[in-house]
Amino acid sequence: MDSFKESFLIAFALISGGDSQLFEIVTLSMKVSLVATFWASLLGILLGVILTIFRFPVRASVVILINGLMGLPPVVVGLLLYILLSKNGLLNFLDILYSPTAMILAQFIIIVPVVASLSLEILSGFYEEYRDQLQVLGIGKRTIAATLIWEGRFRLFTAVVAGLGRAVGEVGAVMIVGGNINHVTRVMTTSIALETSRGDLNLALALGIILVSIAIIINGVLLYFRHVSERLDGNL
Amino acid sequence: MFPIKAENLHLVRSGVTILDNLSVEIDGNNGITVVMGFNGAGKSVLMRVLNGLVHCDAGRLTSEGEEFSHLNLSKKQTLVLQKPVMLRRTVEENVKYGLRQSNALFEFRDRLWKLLELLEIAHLSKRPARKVSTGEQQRIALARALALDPRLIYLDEPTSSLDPISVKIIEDVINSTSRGGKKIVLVTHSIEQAKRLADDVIFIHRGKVVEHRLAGDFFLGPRSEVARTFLEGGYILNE
Repeated sequence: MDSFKESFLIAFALISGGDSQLFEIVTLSMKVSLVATFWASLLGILLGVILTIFRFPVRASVVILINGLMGLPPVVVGLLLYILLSKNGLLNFLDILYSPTAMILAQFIIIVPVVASLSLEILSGFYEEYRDQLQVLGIGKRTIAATLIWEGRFRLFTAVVAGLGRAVGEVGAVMIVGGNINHVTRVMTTSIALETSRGDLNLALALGIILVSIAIIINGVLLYFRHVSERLDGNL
Repeated sequence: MFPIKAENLHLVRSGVTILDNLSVEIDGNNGITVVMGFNGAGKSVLMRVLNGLVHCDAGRLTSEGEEFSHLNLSKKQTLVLQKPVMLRRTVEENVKYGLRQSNALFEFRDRLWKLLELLEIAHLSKRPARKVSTGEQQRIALARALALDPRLIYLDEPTSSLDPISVKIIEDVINSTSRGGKKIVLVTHSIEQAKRLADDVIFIHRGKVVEHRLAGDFFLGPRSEVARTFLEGGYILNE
């Protein structure tokens, strides 16, 4: 119990003392996750809009696929991406294995279905409500898409934030394609796994505290956007 | 764009015949055409069909002799829904949304304020549209429809369950819009309102047009038994 308490105290000391190794890991983690979330959000929302507005023969299959991919195991993504990026892989020419770019790509693949599926759900609700009204106003598909995104922007932020939450907490895929290389591809989750296995609980705990804090902040942001969205709906 | 003709429209949903080979013609001569009938007669469905929101199982819709499917009437006509949907924006932004669709780049602000003042909603301009009263929302919807500057405006019971002030404002705007050269097709249950506004009346019963006559003639002596019953405030059993 004492050693646990001691580890906690050291962990807090690392955070409050601005430990350079700790903050290098946190900074890289956030960079990777934010960039992955940004691109995944662009594609995910675009997919959500297309699936909401357009009806085409394989639409139902695409929706089922995207919803299914929401639960995609990150280690499988990591493994497949590793095969593609490694020496004999199809994407070997990119030469990004064991780099932050590979980690961004892995997280991007993991969170696109999350953002797309949530966006589809959000935008479908808006479309259901607005469809007749927009049609009688003579609005074209492109303007309908822009209107739905604008009207649902705060709810879409919740989809983006949910994607960010998934990215920040992800470990399996980034471990495989990033390699957990010190000062290069070491992020919070992979460091926690490594330091725990090495028995160095102080740094692992400090990172764990930061990771939990980020998760709490993300949930706070989610709640805020939900609140703003409900206010715009006229419910508050 | 006139005449607009609906020929033999037939619509069956869940085994119920909603439009039963309905035929009607809307010309641009008479300013305000009022559509009347008992609940479930098919009035609102006809409005939705004429605005492309519902597609019939059979029948033909034409404008100036050309089929609707070959035309783009979206900038020439609009429908104010019975329960208009407000965008999650201010009152002013909702009307601006309509103006933007009409490509009204010139005198944008002038037109906006004229519409807000015409519908007496200028004092609400900065308020969220979804938080104003039903009557005010109906006026916003009418302002937004007028912002499109269409040639023909369909109004589906725009004053049902509104307070007398909102009814008066909307009726005044309907009258002035009609005098301004636009065609109005108004669905209403109110016989008094129909008498105040109608130039001609289309009476629908069980998905068919029973009468389509000049308002004066219709109200003086309806030809059909069902229209007479309606005007006398009666009801039809097994409706």
